[in-house]
Amino acid sequence: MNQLRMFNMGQAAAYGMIQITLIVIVLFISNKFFGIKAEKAL
Amino acid sequence: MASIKMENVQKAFGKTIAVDQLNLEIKEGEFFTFLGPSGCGKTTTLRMIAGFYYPTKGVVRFGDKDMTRVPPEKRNTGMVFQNYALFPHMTVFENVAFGLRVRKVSPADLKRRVLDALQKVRLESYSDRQVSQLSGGQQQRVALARALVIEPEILLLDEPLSNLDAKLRDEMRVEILRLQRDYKITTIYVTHDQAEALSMSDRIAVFNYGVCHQVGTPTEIYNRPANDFVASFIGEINLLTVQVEKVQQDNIEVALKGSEQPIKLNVENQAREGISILQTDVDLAVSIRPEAIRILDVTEEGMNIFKGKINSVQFFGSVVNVMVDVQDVSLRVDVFNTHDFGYFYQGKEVYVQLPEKQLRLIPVISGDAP
Amino acid sequence: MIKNRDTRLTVWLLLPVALVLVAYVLYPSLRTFIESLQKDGMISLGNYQDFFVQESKTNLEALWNSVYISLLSVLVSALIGIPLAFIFNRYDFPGRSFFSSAAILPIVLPSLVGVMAFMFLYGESGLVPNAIKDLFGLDKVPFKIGGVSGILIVHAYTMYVYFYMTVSAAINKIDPSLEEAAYNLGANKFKVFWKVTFPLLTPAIVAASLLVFMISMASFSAPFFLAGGYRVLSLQIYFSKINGDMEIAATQSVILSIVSISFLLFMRWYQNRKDYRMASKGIGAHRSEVKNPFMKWVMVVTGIIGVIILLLPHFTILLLSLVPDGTWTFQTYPTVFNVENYRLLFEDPNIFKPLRNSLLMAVIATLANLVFGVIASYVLVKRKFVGKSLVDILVMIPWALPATVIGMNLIFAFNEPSVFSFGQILVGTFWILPLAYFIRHIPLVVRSTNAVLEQLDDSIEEAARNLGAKWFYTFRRVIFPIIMPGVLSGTLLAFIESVGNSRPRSCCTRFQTGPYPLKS
Repeated sequence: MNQLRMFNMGQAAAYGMIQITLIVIVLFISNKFFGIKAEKAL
Repeated sequence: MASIKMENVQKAFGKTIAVDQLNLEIKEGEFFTFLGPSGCGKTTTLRMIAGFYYPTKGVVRFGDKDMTRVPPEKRNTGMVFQNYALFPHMTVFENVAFGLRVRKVSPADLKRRVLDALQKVRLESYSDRQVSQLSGGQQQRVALARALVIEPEILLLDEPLSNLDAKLRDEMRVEILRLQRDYKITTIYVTHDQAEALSMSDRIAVFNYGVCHQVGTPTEIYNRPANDFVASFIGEINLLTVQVEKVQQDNIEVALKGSEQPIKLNVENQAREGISILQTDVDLAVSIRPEAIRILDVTEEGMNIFKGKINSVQFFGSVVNVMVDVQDVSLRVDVFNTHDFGYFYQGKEVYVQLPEKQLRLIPVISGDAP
Repeated sequence: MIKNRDTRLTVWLLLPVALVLVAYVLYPSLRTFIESLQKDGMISLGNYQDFFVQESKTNLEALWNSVYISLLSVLVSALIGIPLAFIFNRYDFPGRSFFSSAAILPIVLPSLVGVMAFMFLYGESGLVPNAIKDLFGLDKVPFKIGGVSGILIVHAYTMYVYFYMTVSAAINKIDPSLEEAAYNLGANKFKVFWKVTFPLLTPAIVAASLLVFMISMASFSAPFFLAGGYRVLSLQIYFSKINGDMEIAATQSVILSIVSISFLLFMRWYQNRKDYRMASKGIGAHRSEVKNPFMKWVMVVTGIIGVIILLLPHFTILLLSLVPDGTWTFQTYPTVFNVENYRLLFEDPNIFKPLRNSLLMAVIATLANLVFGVIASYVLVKRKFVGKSLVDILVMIPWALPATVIGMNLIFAFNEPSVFSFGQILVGTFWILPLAYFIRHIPLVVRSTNAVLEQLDDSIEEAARNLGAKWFYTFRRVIFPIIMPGVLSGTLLAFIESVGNSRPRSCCTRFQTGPYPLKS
C-alpha cells in the first residue's frame, strides 16, 4: 500500500478531480438548461 | 388555386384498408369538408393530398397535373395540423417566415409578406414572441399564417379546432372562414364535428370505415342523406325499418313491420339512387328528422297520420323533445318552445303526422337501424 | 423495388448505420468467437472444454466469483437504494431535497478514481482506520477493507444510485389514489405496501437489478486494485492476454459476452412486456411530513452523516490531488499541500502530451459518436424498416459488453488488415483508442437522442416538408436544433467518459512496468 504512494497518484487524482468537475458541470447544465434528469442522461 | 381530383383512390396499410374506391372532385376556391368519426379515413385522405402518404391505387390530380407520387415539399399545399406543429425553437416571425425562406424570397419581400400574414391573423404585435408563450388560439393563428403566407394552391386543415375550448372554437371558425374568403383558396377541412361541417362548408364528404358515403352541400347532406349512416351521423333522425308494398307513378307505399296502415312517400324527395335501390335486396328504412314530424291533438284528414302515446318529454330550452310510441316504434319529435307545450305529458294520447315530402327511403348499410 | 424517395432515403440513412454496426460491433465479436474456436491450429471446441473441465478450475472459479459478486452487489445496492428512495420521496423533513440530490453524488466519481479513493480512505494504511487507531491509541488498525467485502463495498457505494434513481422515478409515477383506494378498502399499511406499492415498483427494481448485475460483471478496477487481483472473469481475460494465451482470452471473452448479452436481451424482453402504466395523469408528489421532533432530528443527523460518508471519496481525491509527488510515502498523513500536480498536468510535456493526445482521441471519438448517434437514432425512431429490432440490439450490445471484452474484440478484429480498417493494422496505432471509445459510447448517445426524438411529434417534420423544405433542409433547420439538448447531454457525457477512460490505461501501463505486484 505504501508502495502505491510512490506512483503518480497525485496526478491521477488531479486528473480525476478535473473529470469530476466536468461531469458535475455537464449534469448541472443539462438539468438546468435542458431540463434533463440525471437518470435519463446516464 | 387548384381543383383536386381523386380517382379510384385506395390506401392500404399492410392488410388494413384505410381508404377504398374514393372518387372526389373538389372545385377551385371551394371550402370542402371531410366529415366522419375517428378512424374513418378522412385524415388519411387529407394526407394523401398533402403527400405524406402515397395511394396504394388510384390517381390524385391538382388541376390537370398528376400529383400522385409528388413528394410533399413540391405540392405547394399549406397544412394546419391538429397540434399546430409550430417549430418550438423559432419565434412567431421565424415560424411564419420558414416557408418563404425555403423558397428563397428576398429579405425585404419576406419581411413584408410575413408581417402582412401576421396582420391578417391579427398577431402583428406578437412577431418576436416564442411560440411557447402564446395561447392555444394564438398558436392556431400562427399555424394559419404560416400555411397561408406561402400562397399555397390548397389549404389543408386537419381538425384545427379540436384542441380549443368551445368559445374560442366559435371565434376561430369565423376567423378561418374570413381568411378563406380573403385568400379565395381551395380549402379542405377535416373534422368529426357535424356542426363545424354544416356551418362552414360549401360541400361535405361523409366518410365511414374508409368509404366516402355521400358528397353534397350541407343542406343536401342533412335533408337528403344517402343512407342510414349519413342520416344518423349528422343530426338526429328517426329511422323506421320498412318493406316496400307498392310503387306508383308519384308515390311509394311502404309498410312498417306489424302495422296495417301503410306509409306513403313522395317520389320527388327520393334521389335517383333511392329509387334504384328498390330493385336490389338491401334492407330499407324510412328516415325523417324529428323537427319534421307534426304532433296533433286530435286526428285530422291527411296522409300518414298515426295514433300514438307520449312516452317522455324533455325540455332543452329552445326545443322540446317528445318521444311518442307509435305501435312498436318510438318516434322522436322536436317541437319549438312556444310557451304552450304544457299539454304534452307522459301517457297522453296524440296523433303524429309524417309529412310525405319529408320522408326519405334509404338503404340500411350499418345493420343497426331500429 | 424502391417505391418512392422516402423509402430510398431510409435506405440511404440505414446503410451507413448498418455498415458501422456490422464493422465495429458485430465483426469484432465474431472474430473473437472464431479465435476462441482455434486450438493448436485446429478448429474445435477444445477451449470451451478446457474452460469448463480444466483441472485447476480457475476459469470456472472466476465465472462463479463474477456471478456471485454481481448477485451480492445487486442485493446490497438494492438494500441501500430502495429504502433511500422511499425515505426521500415519501417523507418530508428539513434538508430533504438537499439530501436527495446528494444521494446521486457517487455517480460523478469515475470508477478507477473511486477505487483509488476507497483504498486511501479505508485500506490498510487508509486515513479512516489510522485516524481511529491514533484517536483511541490502538495497536493495530481496527479494520481495513479488501478482498470480496472490499469489492462489495465499492460496488454498493457506486451502484445503489441506479436503484435509488429508477425506484424514485417509479415511486413518483404511482398515483397516490391507488394506495388511498386500498386503504379505503380496509387494507393496513403492510398489506398496501406488499399488494399495491411493491408490485407497481417491480419493473423499476428489475431494470435496476439487471443494470447493476451487468456493471458488476464488467467491474475491473475494484477487483484489480482493491482485492489484489481477485479472480473474476473480467480480470482473467486481462491476465490471459498478458500471458499471451490469446485463445483462452477469446474463450473467456465469449463466455462473459454471452452472460452479459443474455441479460441485455432479458432486460429488453422484460421492458417490452406490457407493464402497468398509470391510467391517470399529472400526479402530484405526496409526502408525509415527519412530525415527531425526535425522529425528525434523527433523520437530519443521519442525513448529514450520510452525506459526509458519500462525499469522503470525493474529498479524498481532492486531498490526494493536492499532495505533491513523493511527499507522502511512509507518513500516516500527508504533510505537504500545493497545486503542483495541477501545474504539472498542464506544464510537464511528458504528462501534458499524453493528456493532449487523450483529449484529441476523445474529441475524435465524440464527433463520430455525435454523427453516428444522430443518424442511427433518427432512423430507429422515425423510420420504418424491416429488421429494426436487430439494429436496435446491435446498438445496445456495446453497453452490455464489459470494456475488457470490447478491447479484446478490437484486438482480434484489427490486429491484421481488414476491409473495415481500410486495409490497415489498427492495433498499436493512434486510431484503436478513439475507435474503442466510439464503440463504447454508441448506446449512450443513441439512447439520449432517442429520448428526445421520441418526444418530437412527427407533425413537426411534416409541417416543414409541407412548407416546401426538402428532407435535409428540414433536418438541419428544424429537427436537429430541436433535439440538440438531448444530443448534447449524451455527447458531452460520452466525451467526459472518453477523457476519463484514457487515464486508467496510462495508469495500468505505469503499474505494469513498476514494482506493483500485478499478478495475484
